[in-house]
Amino acid sequence: MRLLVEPRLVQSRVVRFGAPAAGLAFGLLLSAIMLELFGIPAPAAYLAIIESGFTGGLFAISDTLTVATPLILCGLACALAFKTRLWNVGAEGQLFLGAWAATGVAIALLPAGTPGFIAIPCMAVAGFLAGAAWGAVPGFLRARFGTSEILTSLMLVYVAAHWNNYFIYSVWSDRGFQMTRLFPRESWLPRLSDLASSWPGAAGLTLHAGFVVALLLAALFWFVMFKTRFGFEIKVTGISERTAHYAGMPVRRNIVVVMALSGGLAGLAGMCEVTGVVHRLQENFSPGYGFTAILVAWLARLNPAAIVLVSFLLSGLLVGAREIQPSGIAMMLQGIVLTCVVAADFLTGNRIRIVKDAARTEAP
Amino acid sequence: MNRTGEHQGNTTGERREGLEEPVSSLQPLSFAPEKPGSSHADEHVSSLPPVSLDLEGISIEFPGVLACDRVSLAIRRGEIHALVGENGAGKSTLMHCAAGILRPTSGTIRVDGTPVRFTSPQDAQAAGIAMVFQNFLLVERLSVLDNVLLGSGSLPPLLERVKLAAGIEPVCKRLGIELDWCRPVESLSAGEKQKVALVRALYRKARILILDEPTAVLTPDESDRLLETMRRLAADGVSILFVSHKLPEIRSVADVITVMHRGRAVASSLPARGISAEAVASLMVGGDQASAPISAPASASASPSQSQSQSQSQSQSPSQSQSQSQSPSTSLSTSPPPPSSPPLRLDSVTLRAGGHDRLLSLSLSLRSGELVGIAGVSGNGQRELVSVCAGIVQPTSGSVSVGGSDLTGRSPRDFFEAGLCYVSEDRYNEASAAQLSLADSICLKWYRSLRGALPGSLDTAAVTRTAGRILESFNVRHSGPAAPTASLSGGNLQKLILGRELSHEPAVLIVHQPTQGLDLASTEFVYQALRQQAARGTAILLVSSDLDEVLALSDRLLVMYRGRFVGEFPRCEFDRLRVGSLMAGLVGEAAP
Amino acid sequence: MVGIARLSLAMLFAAMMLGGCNRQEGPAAPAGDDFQVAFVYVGPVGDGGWTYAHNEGRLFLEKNAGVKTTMVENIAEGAEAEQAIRNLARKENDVIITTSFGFMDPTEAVAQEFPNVKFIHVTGFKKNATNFANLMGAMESMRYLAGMIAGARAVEDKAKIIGAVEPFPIAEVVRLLNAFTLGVRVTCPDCQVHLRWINSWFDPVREKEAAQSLLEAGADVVVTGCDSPGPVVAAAQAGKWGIGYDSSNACAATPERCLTATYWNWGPVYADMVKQIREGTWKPGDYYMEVDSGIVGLLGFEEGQSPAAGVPASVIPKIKEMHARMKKGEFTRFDVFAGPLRDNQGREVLPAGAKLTQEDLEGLSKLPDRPDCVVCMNWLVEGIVGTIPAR
Repeated sequence: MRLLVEPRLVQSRVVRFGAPAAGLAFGLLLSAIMLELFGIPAPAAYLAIIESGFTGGLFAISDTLTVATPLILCGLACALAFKTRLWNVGAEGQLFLGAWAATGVAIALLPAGTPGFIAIPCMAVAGFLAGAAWGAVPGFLRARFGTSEILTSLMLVYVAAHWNNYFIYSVWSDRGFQMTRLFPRESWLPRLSDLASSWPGAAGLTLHAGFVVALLLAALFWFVMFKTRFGFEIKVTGISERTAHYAGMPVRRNIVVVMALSGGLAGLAGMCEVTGVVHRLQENFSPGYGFTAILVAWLARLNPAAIVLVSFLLSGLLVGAREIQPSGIAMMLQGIVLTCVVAADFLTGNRIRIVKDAARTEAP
Repeated sequence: MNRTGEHQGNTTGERREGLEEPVSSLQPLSFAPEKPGSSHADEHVSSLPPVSLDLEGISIEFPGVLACDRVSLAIRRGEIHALVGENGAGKSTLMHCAAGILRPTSGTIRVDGTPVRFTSPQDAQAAGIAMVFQNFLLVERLSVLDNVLLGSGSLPPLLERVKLAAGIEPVCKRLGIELDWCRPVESLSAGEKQKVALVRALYRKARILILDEPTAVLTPDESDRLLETMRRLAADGVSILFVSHKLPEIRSVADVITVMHRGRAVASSLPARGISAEAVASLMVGGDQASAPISAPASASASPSQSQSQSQSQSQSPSQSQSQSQSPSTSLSTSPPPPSSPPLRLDSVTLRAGGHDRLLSLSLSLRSGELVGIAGVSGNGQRELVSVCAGIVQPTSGSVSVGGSDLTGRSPRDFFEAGLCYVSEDRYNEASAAQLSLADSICLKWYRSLRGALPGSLDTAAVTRTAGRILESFNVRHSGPAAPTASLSGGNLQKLILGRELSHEPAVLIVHQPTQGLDLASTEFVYQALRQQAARGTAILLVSSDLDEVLALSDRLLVMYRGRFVGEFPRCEFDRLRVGSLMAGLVGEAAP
Repeated sequence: MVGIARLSLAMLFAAMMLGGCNRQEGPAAPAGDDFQVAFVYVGPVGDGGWTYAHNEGRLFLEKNAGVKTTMVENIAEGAEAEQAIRNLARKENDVIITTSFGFMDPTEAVAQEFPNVKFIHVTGFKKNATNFANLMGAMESMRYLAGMIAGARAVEDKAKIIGAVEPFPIAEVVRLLNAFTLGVRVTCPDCQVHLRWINSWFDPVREKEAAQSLLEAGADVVVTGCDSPGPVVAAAQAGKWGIGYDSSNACAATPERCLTATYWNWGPVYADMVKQIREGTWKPGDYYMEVDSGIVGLLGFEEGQSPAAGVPASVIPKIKEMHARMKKGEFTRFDVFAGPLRDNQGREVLPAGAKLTQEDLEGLSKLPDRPDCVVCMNWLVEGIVGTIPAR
């Protein structure tokens, strides 16, 4: 008797949605046991997570969506690349560069007092282009020399981090401190708390316009993927580069374009973070959004609507888990839950059969 | 050897056509199924060593394909037995069956006279049978010794490598094999790896060795040494069954030869010394046996399947099919006269890849409505040739022009837009992709013209419509245009691909191995489609390792051997025997 | 099978949730009407350095001031920071202490929204008029003493080179490094301090590598301005001497090869501030605490401690005397940075008799209600082999 793993030919609806749900439930159960072992009452901990991540009123939702915004953008970035079977794992670096370029526009390029309706689009374009350039480099290397984009895009994350540090600590340093000066007020992305003067309930709601941009881009992503000729080329290229080449699609060019667009989306996420949240460039403004987004894209099966949903749920977990201290336990909880969901994901694509007598008819 | 001709008699019955043959050769000369137990009853001549491996009436069926059809084969102790045949003749299937990797659909395997049933390679190993694969299946990172010991199943609990190596050493010495036990396999040459694989098989106490094209990747020098090793093994009483396409080496080392063609053993255990290379080549391509030094076949009644295939083969004779197709020769005369620029033209195309010359100064020109066939054993540059013709691969030198415009160095899309369509041999990974939906597979090239209202957009409704139309008109059996391409059988997928390419109304059509793995009905469908398309004025380049196919369909035939055209025949001069010899590289490389 | 398993799993989970509803206590939720102080940390409590020292201070506060404290650790300096701080403010904490430079803007923003909550930000320079203050301590004085010890050790070992592993070329770090070097030159006038920037606050691997390169260059003592004990351990492994930073356990790994550590002792200051806040006497402002507040410590020379074995006996009385004068306020950081001062390019930075101002020391400029720095802290004092990257 042995276990046989075989791919599922047909994925039923029950399995598609049931398996991740079961994985989530199992992960929560396992985490509950761990929490209890650490002497933390698990149900109360879960309630606290749900409360401060989701149900705790406008603040909770606002906090969660604020965190979800870069996750959606980076998730779309990863999904676009993954659709083409390009493993862009460097969204974090592209996010850094996008933030860097937006900062440059805000504090070094535009004259003081530039109105927001000019400044913000300029920053967005700069952020997108910088991220795109950072993504296009591994894309070009892959298309031209066959270099693994996994390695190059990942390595460029560290280059980007140091590049930013150089500017934070040196060129744009605010009086020698490890940050740039604050952006002019006009170039901050509008956020809900700006409405506080007319609607006091909005005070302290940090959700910014970047979230709307992320939603619009998710819709655009869907349109491009499923309703355009470029999307068709992407799909074919992702399934089989040989087939795409055979069909006369510009495979190499598309690889560079996709990596650039992917980087651009991540760059936009960086731009949103610095103009919508931090209002200046500093170290550590991203707690690894670009890396978490890989998971988001994967769990969402590269579907844009699912990316929005998964980002929201994951952000709620991230925000809510701050209620559990010390943070190591919260991180463990997140790790267990995500591992279980990913493991369950494997079961949607494959099934495990117990075979009693193995008849070997397969070729070696 | 007094094996009767009943084993060889099946050849002609299997052929699809018999162009140059007198009608009498189409007489049902069928394989008569042997009765169990009787197969070798007449062979126990006292002077011969006993049969160590006996395959009797082995049939192996894959979905839609009968890979081996009641094949019988006997290997005597200490005998070197060569198995020859074209690609797809069923040799590998038969060997895999003997090595326990595949289970026969019917038939009996006997080892030393005892019937056995292998459910796994381990079972075969236990019975003393070991197979050495073309790629050796060694673990590159491990040392030579570890590879030899690997999987032998009877290791001492403490691996005393030195001791174990010392135990193997004398055997190797006697066989003239020298190996450095400590080197990692990845650092070895192909010849050395071959030795490691051999030693591993022997270490597992194999008495029957099965070698799959053992010299295919060896240098001539290495080959010679391997052949010497084989002789010594045979002298030690090891029986060897080996597959090879190289007739000279077969004649130098083998005791007997079995020739397979289309799943049948068309000649079993011919004495290797006496037979001429031409005779073997002729048998391999299913040719006339009159030239083989074997007596006339015994007549037997045709089995239903054979009579069917025969009737089909008759229906495929060119004269008939041309009269069947709607556009006989008259349509050729109505089609515009050949323009001054040929639809497809290659000018001294050379391709170097991976340090080897794949194509050597090929020149070729197609006329409208002409079907040119390229014959050859696969792996002689055909894949590279079609890739260059379709713009998939850029030639190292020379030029390719389509419809008179030089497209050298341009993209496959430019080739396509110049009117060239290409049906790749790799249906699931190149001509389509297994995970694409049927609609997507069909619109692989159509999508550019199916524009939606918005800039850049794709009219997805039109995609589905186009797909439905092509699925219908080419009679593809499917479960909806959204179904994955992988869900189609090979034949239906080929219809889809051919239908897609034809729907673009190409001026040039390149088809590579168009019927490989297809059943008879689909094969016939493909032939019909190609003939009709040629009649419509499309220039067709048919590249196939199936000689019968090329002979049946082509107006003109070129033989490819080692990246060159080594012979060219207009239809009236088709000579199966000569073509077969050229394919096997037996005739000096004559200029085309 | 699977269905049953899933069902039972779901039921189990539901049962736990229901059971949990009956329990009262939620995690990290401070109970009721007591005075509550919350801390926001950038790193984990277990970092053995910066955050560890702050957490020691929190525990001291809880023990000695009779208040309830909570903390959230590992908070990133982006969106998370503002959310975490605001959540704590909304949970009716009375005082919120944020302990990373990057928390400055979010702390300021939330302070505006919650005028009844007091906010103390560590290592920044912002404040407001009602409820937001910044807090720092005179670590440079301790570094000066550590420099004296290092110089004496080098003299003892007949060495001339002392190594410094430093995080970033910012004013705070440059100030501490300069103070250390000034101390070295007191006991070893011809010693030189070789410098390695590692451009990270906390990177155990790079910190250790930097230390090793200094040791290979002949350093007899390695001092670190970063948060991990790596350089101290590397020095000990090479048979040389290390000087630790941040927390009083910085020498714990290799006590026999560690000369001293300059460490933060936040507890007493926290307790004092909380006391003032409760009494209503606290005013927001720039709190730069002197040595006499007890905010900084020199390992081996505080009450109940004895100098490490490696500290040359000859220098111990000198250190003890200087330390006592600092505690009494007779010798401050302004005396450490007293003229004449020359930078390592040979230029005179400060003439004899002159002293630097607070703004000079912090390198501050363009702040409302504070003068700009004149001799801003962006130069390296004579005796340092190294440069500050150009701006």
